[in-house]
Amino acid sequence: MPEREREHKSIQWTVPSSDSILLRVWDDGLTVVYNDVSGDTHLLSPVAGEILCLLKSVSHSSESLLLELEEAFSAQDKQSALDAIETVLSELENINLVSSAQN
Amino acid sequence: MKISEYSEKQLVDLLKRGHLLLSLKPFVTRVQSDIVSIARDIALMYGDFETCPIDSFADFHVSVVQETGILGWMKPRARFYFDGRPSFVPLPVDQAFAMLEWGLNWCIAAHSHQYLVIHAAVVEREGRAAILPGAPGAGKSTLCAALITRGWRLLSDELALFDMETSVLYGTCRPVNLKNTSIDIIKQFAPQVVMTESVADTTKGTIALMRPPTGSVSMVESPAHPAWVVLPRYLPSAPPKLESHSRAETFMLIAEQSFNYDIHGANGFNAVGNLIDRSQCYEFTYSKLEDAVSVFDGLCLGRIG
Amino acid sequence: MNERVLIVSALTDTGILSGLSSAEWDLLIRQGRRANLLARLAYQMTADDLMNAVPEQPRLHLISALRMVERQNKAMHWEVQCILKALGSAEADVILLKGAAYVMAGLPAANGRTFSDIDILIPKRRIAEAESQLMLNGWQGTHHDDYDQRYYRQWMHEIPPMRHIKRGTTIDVHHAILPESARLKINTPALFQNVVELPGYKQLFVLSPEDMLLHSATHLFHEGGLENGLRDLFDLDSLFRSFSEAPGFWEKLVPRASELGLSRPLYYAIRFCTMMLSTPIPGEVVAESRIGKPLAAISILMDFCYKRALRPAHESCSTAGTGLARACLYVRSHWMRMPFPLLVCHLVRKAIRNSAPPSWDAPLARDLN
Repeated sequence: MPEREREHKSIQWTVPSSDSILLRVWDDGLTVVYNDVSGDTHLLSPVAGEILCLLKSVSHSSESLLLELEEAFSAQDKQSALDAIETVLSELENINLVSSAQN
Repeated sequence: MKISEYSEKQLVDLLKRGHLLLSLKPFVTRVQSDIVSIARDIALMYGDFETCPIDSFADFHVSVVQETGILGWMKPRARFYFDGRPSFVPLPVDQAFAMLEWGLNWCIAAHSHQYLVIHAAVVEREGRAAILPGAPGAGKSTLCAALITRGWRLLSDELALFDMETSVLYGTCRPVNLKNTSIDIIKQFAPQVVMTESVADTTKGTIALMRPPTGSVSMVESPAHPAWVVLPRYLPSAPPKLESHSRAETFMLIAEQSFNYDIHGANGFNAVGNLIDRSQCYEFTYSKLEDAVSVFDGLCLGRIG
Repeated sequence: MNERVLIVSALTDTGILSGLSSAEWDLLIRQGRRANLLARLAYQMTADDLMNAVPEQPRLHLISALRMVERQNKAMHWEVQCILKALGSAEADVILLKGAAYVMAGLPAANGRTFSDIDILIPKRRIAEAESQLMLNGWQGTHHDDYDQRYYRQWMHEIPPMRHIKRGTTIDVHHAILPESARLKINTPALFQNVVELPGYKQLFVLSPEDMLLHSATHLFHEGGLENGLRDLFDLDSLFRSFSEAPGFWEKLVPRASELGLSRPLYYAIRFCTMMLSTPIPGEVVAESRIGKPLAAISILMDFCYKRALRPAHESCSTAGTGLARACLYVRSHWMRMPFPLLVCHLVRKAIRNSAPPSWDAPLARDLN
């Protein structure tokens, strides 16, 4: 299996202390998030909001996230969709909303 | 006893001795000042407000005191004190009343964490409130002043007090701050309004304060239910345009405009969320106040939105 | 002069609150606010289940003060995590001081307390590395003026405070608990030897109970400003009370003070806590602590000064001599920190800089006018 593909499967993403993350989303899909650990409030794009929501309940690899978000990425090929997801995940990690662990 | 029932001499005397307890529901403020113009402006702006007995609990003790310059030729200045502690730089004495108003705003914003304090104007009609967030240059005070001369109730032009448990809004219904061209615009729009003399050369340009409508003052204890959040934008010669605004983006704006959002943590997040849940969110561009009043009336009657 | 200030009476016995008039509540709230003790009072009253009996208006001020501090505990935990992440190399043992230590160690002294910045203590040899690691992680130096830089680095016991660009929090990195230039020479290595590891954290420590108390006493009785003198005295009261159950605390306290060179501040701490706050301290400890008592003339002067300066800085609490007392203590604290030639130079500069009050353009004020 190529290395990148292994990565998409092997790195698991979670929301640590899920109870500390509060979310609200309205019609346009934009999501506001409050992180009680850091005290920060964020505005997330619809995709980022959905990813966060999914990770709140259970951990995922970027591949399994893509399966859940098929509709959002239907227009793209698999690799660029995965890249987009990884970019979002990395940004969410930067603002302390998600964390990753090697499987 | 109402302020209007005192003579000017009585007010001057009360102020000098620090015995004026002004009821600014839900607050009580003890005011002390040796500056005569403050007594006059209080009489002009706060005529409909009640005073409280001398030994009442006061939420804030404030003073505005005249200072003479070190050198004889320096113009006299006024300084604001919060509970005996000088706060902020002194300003020319002709800005004394404005300084009192700004100082009171600070007192409320900094010490009222029983509420979520939002920097916004709030007006109400038929029990439903329109919130106009205070982004700089948005013209919320002008719009607010216009609406309250056309049947809308004033809650506040600056400080929206959001009760996080009941999701309703309160305001102190104090004088409305107007700046520069807005002063004449409102005088033309509503010639019957009572205003202080204009004061030039403040940090915000020329300012004047407008007396709150008697009807609004009499209803100050009644809260209002949030119904609309409207981000006003004055654009010269523009036709009125009301457009839906993203709720999530309005959320962020309200959070940013709340003085104590951070203090409230998760409760603050939920409070703003509840407010947004209950409100339709709009961006409103306009150039003429008559247009603006029409649109807001339309919102209220359900003709628009 | 011996009558108790209302906020002190209320904090030492919440029972008096049931009989207060509106005017007395008015005074109490203002004193509490000025002394930065309002939240502590609110906390105490909540614990004693007395809040519901408070008249509505003052109760709202107590609630408001409590809300201010409620988030601090979480904010402090987060800030400490961020600091550990930044300083996370193998040798980076970080000792928390003062407020940060109270919060992270779960001490009652943290209740109702606001904190303006985080103080940490690390060995002097690690200061440069710590500074650069902090800068890499978003902290920026303050006090860019050359003089201030020298003041902090060369003469004080810390690098200039560093402020985080995004979070706006401030960290003070110390390598000793008193300045190198101070007249009182402390046995700093001995401090490092007795630190206590915080459960659940690697490389995060606080001072031992005796040392934490001695540090708090040293800080209070060496500081000049004393804006928060009464609040700091209540911290000491809280530490005395919560550590009284710690094994061997009372036995170790006076000897440890001698070992560290801190007998004088301990003497003052015990004296003023018992005198002003009726802090329960075993008689034999009070007696032993007298080895730290200064000569009679100084003792009388210090009594005069501190009895006044440890009252709230509120007009209702001023008595004859308060201004003088505060001035004396201010000069004394700088005297204790710096040799005379440096002192004159520093005080003159500080006087020049401190003369500017906040402007109407400052944050919060700016939006309201």
